[in-house]
Amino acid sequence: MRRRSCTKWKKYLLLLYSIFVASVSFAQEREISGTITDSSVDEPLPGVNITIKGTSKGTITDVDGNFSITVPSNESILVISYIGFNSEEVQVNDQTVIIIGMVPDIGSLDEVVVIGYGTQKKSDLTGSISSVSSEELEKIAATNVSQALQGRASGVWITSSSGQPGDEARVRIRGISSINRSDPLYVIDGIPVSTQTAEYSDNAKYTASLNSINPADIESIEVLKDASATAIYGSRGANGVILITTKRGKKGDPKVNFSYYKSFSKIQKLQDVMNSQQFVSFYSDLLDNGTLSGNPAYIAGTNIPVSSFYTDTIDSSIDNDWQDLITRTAQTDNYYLLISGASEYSNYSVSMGYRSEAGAVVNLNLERINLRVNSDHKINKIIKLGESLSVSYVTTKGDNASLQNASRNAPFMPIYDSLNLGGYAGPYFTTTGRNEVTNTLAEVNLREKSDIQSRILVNIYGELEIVKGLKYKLSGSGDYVTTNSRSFTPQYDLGADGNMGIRGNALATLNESRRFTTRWILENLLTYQNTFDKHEITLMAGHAAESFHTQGLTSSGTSFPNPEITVPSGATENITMDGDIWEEKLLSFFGRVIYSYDSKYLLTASIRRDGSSRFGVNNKFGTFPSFSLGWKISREKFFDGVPLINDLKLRFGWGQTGNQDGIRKYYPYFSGINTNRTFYVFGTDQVTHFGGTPFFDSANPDVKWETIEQTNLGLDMGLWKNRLTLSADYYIKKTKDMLLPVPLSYHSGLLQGFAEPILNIGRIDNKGIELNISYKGSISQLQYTLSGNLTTIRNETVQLAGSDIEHADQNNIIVMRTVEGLPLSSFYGYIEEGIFQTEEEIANHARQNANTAPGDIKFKDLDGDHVITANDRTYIGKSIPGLIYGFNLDLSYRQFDFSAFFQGVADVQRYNKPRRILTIPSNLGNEIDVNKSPEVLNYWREGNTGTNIPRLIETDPNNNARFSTRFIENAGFLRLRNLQIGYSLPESLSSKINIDRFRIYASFQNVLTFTKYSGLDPEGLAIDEGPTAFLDSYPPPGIITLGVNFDF
Amino acid sequence: MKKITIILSIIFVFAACTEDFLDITPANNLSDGNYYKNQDHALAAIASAYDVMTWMEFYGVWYALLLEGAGDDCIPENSRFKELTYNTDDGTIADMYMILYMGIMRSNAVLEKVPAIEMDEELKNRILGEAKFLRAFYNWHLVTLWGEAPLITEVLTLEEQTQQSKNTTTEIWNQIETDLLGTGEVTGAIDLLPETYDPSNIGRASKGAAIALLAKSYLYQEMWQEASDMFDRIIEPDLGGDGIGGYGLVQYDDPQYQDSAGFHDAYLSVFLENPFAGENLEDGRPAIGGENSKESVFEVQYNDYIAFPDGGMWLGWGNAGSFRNLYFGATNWGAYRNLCPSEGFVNEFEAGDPRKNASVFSNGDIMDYRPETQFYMVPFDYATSGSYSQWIMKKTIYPIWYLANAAPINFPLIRYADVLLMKAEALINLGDEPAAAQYINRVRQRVGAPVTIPWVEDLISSNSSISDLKDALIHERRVELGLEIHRMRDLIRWSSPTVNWVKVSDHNQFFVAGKHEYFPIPQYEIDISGGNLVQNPNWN
Repeated sequence: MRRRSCTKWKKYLLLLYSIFVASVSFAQEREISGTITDSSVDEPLPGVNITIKGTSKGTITDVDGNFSITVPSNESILVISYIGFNSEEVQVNDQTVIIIGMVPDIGSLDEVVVIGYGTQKKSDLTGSISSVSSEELEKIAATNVSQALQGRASGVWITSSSGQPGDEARVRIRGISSINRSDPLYVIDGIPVSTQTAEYSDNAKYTASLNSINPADIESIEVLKDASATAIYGSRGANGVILITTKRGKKGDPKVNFSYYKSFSKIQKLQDVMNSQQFVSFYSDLLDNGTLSGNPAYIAGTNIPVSSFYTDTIDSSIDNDWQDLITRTAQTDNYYLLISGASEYSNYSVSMGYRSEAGAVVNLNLERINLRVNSDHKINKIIKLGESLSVSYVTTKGDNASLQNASRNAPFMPIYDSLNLGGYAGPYFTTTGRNEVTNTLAEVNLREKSDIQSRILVNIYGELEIVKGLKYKLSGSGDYVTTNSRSFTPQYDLGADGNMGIRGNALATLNESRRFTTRWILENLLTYQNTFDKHEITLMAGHAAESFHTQGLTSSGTSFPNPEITVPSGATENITMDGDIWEEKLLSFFGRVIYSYDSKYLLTASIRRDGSSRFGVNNKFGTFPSFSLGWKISREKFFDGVPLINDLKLRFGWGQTGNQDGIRKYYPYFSGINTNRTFYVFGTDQVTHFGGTPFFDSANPDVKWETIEQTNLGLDMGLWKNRLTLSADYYIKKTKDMLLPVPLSYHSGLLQGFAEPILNIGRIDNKGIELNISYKGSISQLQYTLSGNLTTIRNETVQLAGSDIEHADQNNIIVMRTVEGLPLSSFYGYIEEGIFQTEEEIANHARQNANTAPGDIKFKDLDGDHVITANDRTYIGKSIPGLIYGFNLDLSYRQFDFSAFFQGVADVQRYNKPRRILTIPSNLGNEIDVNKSPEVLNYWREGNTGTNIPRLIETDPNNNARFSTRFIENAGFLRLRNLQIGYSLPESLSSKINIDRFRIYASFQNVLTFTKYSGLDPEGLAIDEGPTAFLDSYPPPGIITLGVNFDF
Repeated sequence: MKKITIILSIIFVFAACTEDFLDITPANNLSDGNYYKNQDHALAAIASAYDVMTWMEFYGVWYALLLEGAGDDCIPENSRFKELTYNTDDGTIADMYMILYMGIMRSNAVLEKVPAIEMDEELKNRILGEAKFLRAFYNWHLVTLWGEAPLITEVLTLEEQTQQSKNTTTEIWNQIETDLLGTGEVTGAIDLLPETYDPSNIGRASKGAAIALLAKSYLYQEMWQEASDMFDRIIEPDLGGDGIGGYGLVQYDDPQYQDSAGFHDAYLSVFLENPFAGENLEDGRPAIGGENSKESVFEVQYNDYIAFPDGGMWLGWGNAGSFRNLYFGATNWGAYRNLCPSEGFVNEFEAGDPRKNASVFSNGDIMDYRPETQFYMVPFDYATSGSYSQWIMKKTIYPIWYLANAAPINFPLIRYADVLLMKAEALINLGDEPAAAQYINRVRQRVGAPVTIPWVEDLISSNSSISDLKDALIHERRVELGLEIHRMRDLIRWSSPTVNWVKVSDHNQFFVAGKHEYFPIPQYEIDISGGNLVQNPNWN
């Protein structure tokens, strides 16, 4: 075994050596010359690549299309390639002059793309669809589907939620169309899988992570954006559809592909915080001079200043960087093996993937195992069978440790204390009970948390060709997901606190929950395709029944007398159990006509009728129509003489789709009966009788999907024989019937403030343009592709249920509002006008607080009543970017390839929440004596009045920390998302070791960001995610990856 | 073609099962889809219609804060209840308004859903009678507290719920009469309800309760003769009544209530929790004092069952206990002391009237009539309990702190003593003072031995501030029914132009006639009504 691997290594060494040594010339070599022309116009082609197959030797044609090259033998094969033309291979034989007419490659536009329930030639598309191929995916070592898509397709806005292993980015297509749910529908190999469905309580929230899909298995991703493309998915198509097609075997010899990469990741930016000495000096100053009275704060009942705790008791020689302590350079290993092949009757593709990813915060880990089998079999002339089967097992471990908490830990706090149970030191305390932040490292290391998701996704189909062109397909699909979450916090203590008693965790606590979710789909599909003269027609009719069922069980308990037994049966106290079952069913009928006349006039029309168990009894079925038209102007006779433009197509589409997930509940049309929270006592023994009454919400029998009506106008263009391609779309997306809670009157007799009834009444508009542009060219042997995409979004809330909707951050501070006439969730706060310099200035300004003093922040009196109140808040920023863009540069030179991918957003603001605590020199709320940015040392004071940091004041009477323009920052950014350099062995060498292809590469992710945002990461969650959208806890780390790829 | 037929028929098969396929019965919660199906559901539905009375937003706490706070018997800790400075946005008022409609909705739900349930007919009729009684009970509060308000007689749909406009007081009073007395076609609660209940159902609305509520409604409408006649139906035969329900005043002849000085306090015993009460009557009602005694016509039932599934108590989270002890008890017991008896109220008692001691705790008082128990052992400490009143409530307070927040003691709504005094009031207004005096004397006569208080005639002649029988009645209601949330309603009623016995502003200087008789309709309700609802006079 050992010997063999040794030999193997020698082989590779030899190979590496060969890369750098010039090839040896052979005896039979001779020179040949020739001319390359464009056969369509019979003109010479300059810059065409000519290489000798199996060698790295080559040349290019001159301005007249001529070339000459020395070939080793008559058997040599010339490979002639040029952007925009089909490659040609010519055996030299005994020719000395070779003239070749190249055929323009219109294939790039003739690719077939996957559309819902079928495929279509890309050149015949009339809808708006973006496509990402496996080659593109290969260039980024993407960990999941959303990452693979980011910046690749216009109209798709993707934000990374965090850099935590397993966290998925949020995908929004063409803006945000609902205040409820705006997640697109994912369809994997024809199986619609929702990532999230309704929620009735947090516990019942079902999430099937797309983490279970290995990006390496993906053949292509299609993003259906406009209604004419998505309407075939009816009540679930409103937020766009992402079609994921996995790899299937292709004709030819069996292929083995093996790839491996290793990544190193590290968080690029941490909060700048004070060291021990700065901390002590700042806080003793605050306690001595920053009190409201101006006198030092004394420990109650004594004349000892509280600050003496810092100046006398603290060992400020200890200087711990807590953020550093909980972060690390993490390593990831990723293995992938794919075996595929095809015969005349069958094809197969089998893959295995393994990934072990460590988080850049200690103790966060992810492990993923993927297995996949895809195959198709022709049984006879009319019957075809096939299946796609994938099994995945994903484990994520570790608590989402808060970097934010670490940044607040006092630097002088020791890390360990062997006297404490658990071994960690606690925060310093005095009788004042100061410094509330616990030992973050102890929390990270002592708490155990794991989530395991295993998933089987299977589709089996049979297809029958009844007569030529008419096919019937029956397919059954299943999606089985089990999740198992466990969190265990052992008993530990972090030492005593003067006021608070023992700190830490007094009772070992275990929470375990399991959920089993199934979704099965049965589909009947009838397609007919035929060509009559110049008429080409494809008809499709289908029926689908879908059933979803999820069942959860949660248990918890405390007090584990045997520390070894930490399963639920080890708990001895506070044992609880909880469970639920939720169901959803969908019944659909759909049909589509695709018609083209002479490939010139194109028409697609589709209709879907969906019945859903989630719709109210009066609206059980919804119909979703669409149509789109295309006109290939370039095929008209009058276009013949037009120079440059070889392809021109106009598209127009209209359609209606539904957003079923906007109904967040499973059974919105039932009034819940409350039976355990109403009581009355009867009888001499005063026995409690439980009541039963409509209690929580009133039924809305009319509740239905949110309807989104979309109009799309598009233009596709190819210039210089498709070297330059351009595609532009203008879209108007109107959300009607948005579900909003309506006021519940007292007369209803229902309890206010709980789930209010929902009605389809709101409206939101999204408008914008999308632009995709790509240019392929070459200079000598350097081939390059430049491509870019751009999307604009104009979002407007048109109609609400009468009242504005307020959005709070985790501290319950209102930071956003949704109002009619403005974009959804606009930032809403005070306008800062600078810092008061004199008492006189305060007297002349609107009244803020009795204790407002020079050095406090001045806020603008918007309503002119000379008092700063909640009415002086206004709209101070938008959270949906106005512009999203990405651009890509691909280069290849001989065996080297290079790609750089930039992505960015502009015209957007973000709430820099951590800055509130970090830069206001006061103790805010519960944030007592937490570490802050060194910026606070520059606070306003006599002799330092030119600063923008307010005065030192313990309790912040002026509320300097209120939500104002101070914390709203421009969150536009341009990020070098990925940079990759690869090298492939020449075939001449790789073939010697029986390898078809061997490529090594290095890539760098998130390494360069241009932004004005001062926080850790300008990217934020989509705002419809709720308060967590403002967390800034774990920015995407910078990643360096080294990888290899073999094809056998 | 044959194949196509097969395929099309497959599709057809799926299409055929449409309706059934989409029907789901929710597994986790009961809902209107699977409820109101059997007798148990009917019983649970009526229980939740009663439930509303117990809430702290109603008889629990808020009602006392708003009404006793506005009157002259108590001083509220929060001055807005005394000074009537609340506005149309006041949360306490909005809560009470909502609570009444919750009670009405729950009663309506019973009246709408229960008739279709297949169950014991007798029980069904009783439940429907209870629902009618409760709807009348909640509407009675609505019309006396808000005057004109929407009259809701069915469960509202989503569209209807925000579109209600006001009904006149006459319409509401008529509905109360219809619900209790019935009309030609409709059977009322009086006819549907039984006179008495078996021991396990004591506490439900009885025929007598329905009669008393109707008589009281007549009294409030100044329909003196109707009121007098209706009261007669439940007044004991000794006093010339029909004796329906067997009500009577609790007497002082039980040795259990004898203290070391040989003192018996029947009056006090009326307000005690069952464990302290005496022997039961045949139907299970205590003969002497305690909850649901023979003096009790209708009372809010409490026990100490607490069910805060979320670890806190707040609006709508169920409990079956009273919060009066928490809100009105002494600070040195750990309670809030939000409402305390006033000096004027304490001074109203005649010298030696044991009802004073039964109504309030004075500084240092320990309720020690049962020294073997640890209950009531912590004395009321006025010094550490804030200083705005020297007394705290004793009546209806159950100061046993170990019960945390919820006390089991019931709260009286209609007492037989109240019935007698209301009867007397009707008679005074009818001009029959000699007849009226005997009802007042009946109440005074039971007060206590060895202490006796004089007949009402002697009271009038001996007390300088009581010059006639009407004054005596005003006095008697204040001391007999003190802290039972009658006073403010009485004052407002007596100030009507036709009665004109008092001016409310003499009792609360902040009271503005023409405005404060009624609460404002919550602003929120007006805002969402789209112009259907109009604010009460002088509240804008």
